[in-house]
This record gives sequence, structure tokens and C-alpha cells, in this order.
Amino acid sequence: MTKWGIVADLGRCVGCQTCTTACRHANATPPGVQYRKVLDMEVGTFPDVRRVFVPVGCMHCDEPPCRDVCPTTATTKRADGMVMIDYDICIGCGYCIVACPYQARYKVSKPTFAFKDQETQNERTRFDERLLGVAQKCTFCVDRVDYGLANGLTPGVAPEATPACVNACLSKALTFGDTEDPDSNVSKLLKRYKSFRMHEELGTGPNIHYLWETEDQ
Amino acid sequence: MSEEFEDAPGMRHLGLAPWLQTAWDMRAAGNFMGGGTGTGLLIFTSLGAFGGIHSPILILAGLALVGLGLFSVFLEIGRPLRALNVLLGGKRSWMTREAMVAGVLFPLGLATLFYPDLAKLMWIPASAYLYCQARILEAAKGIPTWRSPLILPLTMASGLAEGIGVLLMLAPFALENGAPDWLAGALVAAIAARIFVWMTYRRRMVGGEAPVEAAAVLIRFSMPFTLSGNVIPLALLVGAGLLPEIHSAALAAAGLAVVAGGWALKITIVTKAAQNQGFAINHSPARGAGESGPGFKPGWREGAKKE
Repeated sequence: MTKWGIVADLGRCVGCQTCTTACRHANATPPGVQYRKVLDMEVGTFPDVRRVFVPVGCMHCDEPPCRDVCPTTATTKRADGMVMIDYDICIGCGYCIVACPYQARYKVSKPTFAFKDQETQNERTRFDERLLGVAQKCTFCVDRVDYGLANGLTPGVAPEATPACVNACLSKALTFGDTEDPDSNVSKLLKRYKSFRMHEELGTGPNIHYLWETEDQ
Repeated sequence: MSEEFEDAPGMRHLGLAPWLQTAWDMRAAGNFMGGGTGTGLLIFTSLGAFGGIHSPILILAGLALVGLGLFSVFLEIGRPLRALNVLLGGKRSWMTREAMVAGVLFPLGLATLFYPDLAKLMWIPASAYLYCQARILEAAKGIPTWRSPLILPLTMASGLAEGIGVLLMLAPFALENGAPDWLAGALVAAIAARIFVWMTYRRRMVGGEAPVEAAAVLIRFSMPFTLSGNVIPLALLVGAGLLPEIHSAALAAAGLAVVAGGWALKITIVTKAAQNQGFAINHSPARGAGESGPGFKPGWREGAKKE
């Protein structure tokens, strides 16, 4: 079986937000909607203070609460682990938004653009009316992954088959791959270094893993 | 960051600490208010039917409250023309199950107008509807104050208390002999259950199961709710028992206070003490040859036990 996931190396992430920008470009998300964003955390108290950058987004959970509450079956989980939304079925009740402990879902009711009424060429090209009034979130760039698989490429290795945020990461903090494949790029990272998952105590089984100690001991 | 905000945790942790959800507003709260009170009323009207009480007014009032709640939440959905899609998710979603139960509740309620004996069955779909409403909140894992297991008994106890409250208010108009005597006793029991669950729920939320900001909302709400929504109605019930000349008025006032308290409770939990989970890390990373550091969970009590 395949289970797509992302490994985020917290020691490498420099908080440049290039992944955020790449995601916004790839999905033409409206203002306020960030499928991928990087949190800027200031941890500790003076003089022992450190700054940590944490990429977050939809965790494509093993047991997604958003799917469990969805009254329309618009939210589903694919066999490869990706949590998807059928925009043609969703009624925009917002239940999935309050069910997600990662604040990864959004609902936008009317078209809004980065420069108010002036839509950019990219926004015009990628505007999708189906997304108005319904829930939306990160798809792990499912179109790129499916395209890659259909053309014999390995998602996470071939850029054409890899989510835009991962491709754009300039410090190689983000890695995408199949966490069920022991020989995949992400499995090797998870095997070698220490990692945790956010809010794991809630039992959602999130599929973004955070590396926090990558120096070989 | 500006120096004047440096010590303000709200600013330092902006976008990291739990913030108030905005997906569900008063329209969603309206569903819990109307649905809870309406089904509570239908349950006790149904139980009254076993004692020979029948009132189309009470049945219609219960259905109207449930209907208003559903209409209220209908106003919130982004694609109202697809509203019937809500029936597709019965395998997992309590919202779908609520809608399905409504499909039984309304026809049965209307049928009791022509076949009064059917009122004895009304408590079944009404209880199921109330249960579904409680589970809707409990299933929302993203909101710590909703996902508490105590939200289930709290929502149900409040719904029952509110239903009795409305019944006491409408009894002088709907029932020939006024409210039956057992109703006051039932209200005392419902209030006792509600306040007991509330105290336990509040203690657990303040003890670390909810973000600090949500806990603060509950703390502020607790005293007015306890007094106005629970203690005062109990005092009015005692007054109604001791002073026959104000009996009906005191019962109605007690009912009103109980309903107001229950509605305030739902507004508070759904729209005010509804901070989300926020973000957290278990460890700070080691950079280069440095050492890793502690985790970080802004907006939560330090040392709060993990669920």
C-alpha cells in the first residue's frame, strides 16, 4: 500500500515562506487562504530563546476527523492516504473546519483576489468557481502526483510529480514520499532521525512528520 | 514587534495560540438552541401523553423550535441549493443522522394532531435528535471545549431542562389544568443534572483540557449561568410551591429563566468559548551541532495534562 506524507526538517526550515508562495501560485488561493504556511515560533524565555519555523497544512490524517463529520461524503480518503474534497457535493456547512485540529480548512464565499478587484493573470487562469461557498484545503497537489504516477514518475523524486511546496523549498526542509515504502526518501529520513507529529495525542494519525534531531548521535 | 506588545501573549503568539473559530456563528448556535429546547419540549409532552395530557399547541411549538433551529443552520451553509446532500453521510456523520431523525420527527409530530395516541411515541425521535445534536459537538475534534465527552450529558441535560421550561411557560395556555405537578420535580432533576455536569465540565476545561482563552470565557460565564439559569429557577419553583397565588406565574418565570440559561450556555460554548486547537511542537530542533530544546504549546496552560 502507498501512504503519501511529508517530512519537514525543523532544523533546516528557515521560514522563508517560499513553499507558501509556491502553493498560493499553484492553487491560486485567495487572500487569507494558505494551504501551506510556515509558523514562526519563539520558544523559551530569555536568555535561552530559540526560533523555530514550522510548516503546517492539511496533515492528510490516517483517521481524518473532517471526513468523519462530513454530512455529505464530500470529504473522502483515497487508498493512497490523501484526504480529498469533492467540491460538487460539499454544501459548505463548515463542520469539517471545526473538526480539523490543524486549522487546515477554509471556506470562501465570494471571489477575492490579492489586489482587491484586480485579478492577476494567474488568478484569472486558475480561478475555480466550484470552490466558492465550500470547504477547501491542501490536496498534496494531487494532480501533479497523479500525473506523475500515470507517467511512470516517482512522486517526491521527480519534480513534475511532487507537490509545489516541496519543489520550492530552498533549504530542502520538505520531503514528500511514500511513508509505507521502506526504501522511499521519507522512510529513510524517518528511520534515521527523530521525529514527532503534531497533536498526535488526538488520535488523528497526521502524515506530516517533523524531524527535530538530525545530527547523527 | 512593537515594544508595547512584547509582553502581550496574544500578540506574541498571534496565529499560533488557539483562536476563536469563525466557521460556526449564531446561526449554528441557533440550531442547538431550537433543537435542544424543541426536542426537550417534545419529550416531556410525549411523556405527559401517558398521563392523558394532549396538546397540539405543545407539539406544534416543539416542532416549530426544531424547525427554526434547522432553518437557522440552513442560513449558514455555503451552498444552500445542495442542502439535501446532508443526507448522504449517514455512515459516519452525526449531522446526517440528525437530519434523518428530523425526517421522522416532523411527520410523526404532525400525525399526532390527527392521532393523539401517537404522541406517546414522540419521545423516541425527539430523544434521538437531541442525542445527535450532542454528538455533533462532541465529534468536532478541532474545538477542545466541544470535543469533551461531558458535552454530551451537558447538551442533553440542558435540552431537557429547556424543554420543561417551555412547557411550564406554555402550560397555562395549552393545558386545561395547567402544568402537571410532576413537571416541577422533573425540572428540579434536570436543573440538578445540568448544574452538576456544568461544574464538572467547567472544572475539567479550566484544569487544562481547554485553551486558556476558552477557559477564561467559561469562568466568566459560570457565575451568571449558575445563578440566573439554575439557582433562581429553583428559588422560583420553591416560591411556586409555597405561595399558591403566584403558582403559575412563578412556574412560568422559572421556565423562562431555565430556557434563557440554556440558550446562553449554547451561545457561549458555540460562539465564544470555541477556540480551536492552535499549533504545538513536541520538541525544538537541534540546529547544527546544537542541542534540541523543549516543545511549545502556546495558549495552553503550562503543564496541562495531555489528552
